[in-house]
Amino acid sequence: MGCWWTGSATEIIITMSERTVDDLLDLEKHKLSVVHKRKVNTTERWMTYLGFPGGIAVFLLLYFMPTPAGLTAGGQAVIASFALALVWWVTEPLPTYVTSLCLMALLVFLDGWDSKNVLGVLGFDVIWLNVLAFILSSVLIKTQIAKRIALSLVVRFGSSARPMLLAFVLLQLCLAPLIPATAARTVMTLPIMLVVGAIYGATAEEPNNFGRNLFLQNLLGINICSSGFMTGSTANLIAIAFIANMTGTKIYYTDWMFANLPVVIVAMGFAWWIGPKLLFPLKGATTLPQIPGGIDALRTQLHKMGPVSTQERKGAAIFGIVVFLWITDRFHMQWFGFEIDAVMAAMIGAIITLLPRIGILKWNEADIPWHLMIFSAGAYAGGLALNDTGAATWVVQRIFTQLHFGTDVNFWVVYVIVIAIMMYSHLVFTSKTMRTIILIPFIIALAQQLGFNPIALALPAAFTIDWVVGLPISAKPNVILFTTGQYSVLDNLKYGLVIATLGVVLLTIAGFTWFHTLGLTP
Amino acid sequence: MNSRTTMKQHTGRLLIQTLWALVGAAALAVAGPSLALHERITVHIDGSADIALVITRQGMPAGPILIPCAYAGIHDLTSPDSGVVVRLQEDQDIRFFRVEAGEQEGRPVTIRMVVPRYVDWEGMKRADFGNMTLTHTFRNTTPRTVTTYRGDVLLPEWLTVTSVVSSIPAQTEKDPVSPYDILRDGGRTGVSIRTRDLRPGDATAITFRCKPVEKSPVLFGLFALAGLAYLIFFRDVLKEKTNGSAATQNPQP
Repeated sequence: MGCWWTGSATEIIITMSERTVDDLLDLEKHKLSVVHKRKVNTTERWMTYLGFPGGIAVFLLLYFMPTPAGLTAGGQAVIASFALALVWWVTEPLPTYVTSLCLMALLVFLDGWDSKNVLGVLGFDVIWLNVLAFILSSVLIKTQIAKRIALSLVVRFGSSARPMLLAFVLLQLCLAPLIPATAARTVMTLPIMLVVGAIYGATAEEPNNFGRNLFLQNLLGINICSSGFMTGSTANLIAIAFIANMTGTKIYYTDWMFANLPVVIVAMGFAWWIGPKLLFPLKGATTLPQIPGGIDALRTQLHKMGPVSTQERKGAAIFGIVVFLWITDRFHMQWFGFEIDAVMAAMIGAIITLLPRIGILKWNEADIPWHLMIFSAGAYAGGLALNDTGAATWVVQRIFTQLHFGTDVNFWVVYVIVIAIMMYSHLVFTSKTMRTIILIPFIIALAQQLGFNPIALALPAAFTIDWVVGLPISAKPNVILFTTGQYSVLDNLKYGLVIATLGVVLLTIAGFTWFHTLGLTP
Repeated sequence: MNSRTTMKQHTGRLLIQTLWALVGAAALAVAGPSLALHERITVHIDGSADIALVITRQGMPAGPILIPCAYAGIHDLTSPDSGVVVRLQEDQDIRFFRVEAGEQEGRPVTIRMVVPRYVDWEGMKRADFGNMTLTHTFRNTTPRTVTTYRGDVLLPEWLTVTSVVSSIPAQTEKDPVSPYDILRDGGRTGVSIRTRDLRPGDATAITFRCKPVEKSPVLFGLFALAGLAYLIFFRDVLKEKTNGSAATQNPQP
């Protein structure tokens, strides 16, 4: 009798534990297309309450002030609308996607940007890439590949939070030179992050500091690892082209990599230390997996998954094709006579994925967060309108004009200011390309005007192009990771500002030491 | 790694290139003739415009010079500079200013004129928000290259520049420096286009939209009301919600 009772109780406990583990690891239940309501603290509640009238006050001030010299009325309307949206995105009195819709409406109603342009943003390649990336991400989830990789990672490194986070640092550093497209890297690692986050108790409904560290550190890794390589982003190549055209100096792949990759590695190391220690402290139980039975239960889960299934192989093959196309983009012209860019490679993957019989997913199983697309579209529309109306250029010009650099100014003063402006400017530019096109020629011209070697200023400034970590609107990976609901805009801003400041400090130290040794800076 | 050497080589190359550029510019300044034009068009509320054209020529033979003229019905064509003689000349339906610098030879010469119907505000098509589209074009109809050209168009005070639609030359990735500026002079706003080396037949142009300056006070009122209404009716945002924190806003079935 006693034996029966004990046995039954144990059975019940085991069943409950397994259900909890299964629930946590079942990503079908953590759909990104569902908008979750997060728990907010007192500060965030006050920010939400004051954010709405605060945004309006900023808007009214900027819109109704006399149009400054050098700025068009359209540019002024765009700056005012974008400032309003920025305040609302950060303080979240409205959901971020509603703020985006408000921004798009304001751009049109205030004659900042015409409706054809505003509505056309939803058809941009960046939006398409997001949609297709989420379809591919659903493959990793449905076939359980993500779960298997995540469980293997956690079983190996996840006895506590810090080695787990370090494993992701290394993963991002390894992926960066292979896959230049940041959205591609995001979509590959996102499902793994979701499973690992769930193991440590971080969900969209109940975000915790492990989730904040994990997702924001990966956001940083995906972005800044691109700055370690000249081919890491199109914007890097544009900067190099400007330097070549305007100074006649060619920068080689190895010049860039030897100069900046060490800075990136050091920055990632600092970020790995600073996040869990200072920004989102991990203490006590939060440093351990939140699964009943701990690592052993996860090992059991991994064991229970058995050998790799046919579905997993199929999913891996489809994903393999897409990754292969992403990696080999420079050879496409030679092989096919045309180039398959990142978007079209993802589209090929999505087509195979959704094919009847051959594919893996049905349309309803593709987890596409449309609210994210609207949010992105609004952010891009605002950013592009800033550029199109000349408002972004005007802001940059004003900043440099206000600085009043004399010809006897010290190089290092200019160096630090240029790096800082370039670094923090990502908070108002939603496109790295636009930021590069506007700022790099300015910096080269400034250096020439002050009698400095333009490369000594422009190349370190170009190293900051991919440091776009301040806001969910700052880059594609930011937008994608923000949908997970694992952190707020405020968390993102706090992390981004600290990391951007760290970047300025690191690049300044590098300017005095490493870049000087390389002959880049005087 | 030999980047240090590479960077130093680059610096050396840069210095040599800069020197070459300086030598080239100096040689051009000494030997090559140059013609610089700066046109300033101040448009008035009645559609007339005061136009001032500053002509700076260097290294060109003395004597009269022909400057392209794109305006019809010019009045009060004069020069404030003493000794300068300016008159309109027409050759095969193409108009020119014939300028004799006299004692101003070698110095900048200014000519002024009034164009009574520069813009027909009444007849101009108005788009959304009362926007009107204006284009300023300068075509070099003379056989001489215009080395630098700058054209400023200042609008009447009741109008403001909404946006620049297009420009020739255009701003490109290869030439990222904007060829135009947005001007503000006292209460007037306007645009300025600049270009270099306009060969015979070449043109430079800027097309921009402008609209009345006034901004709707209704908009101000609506926004201010919305902000106040939020502060009053959304006070519950400050209360801590004890239940439903994990509820979804649009749960899927």
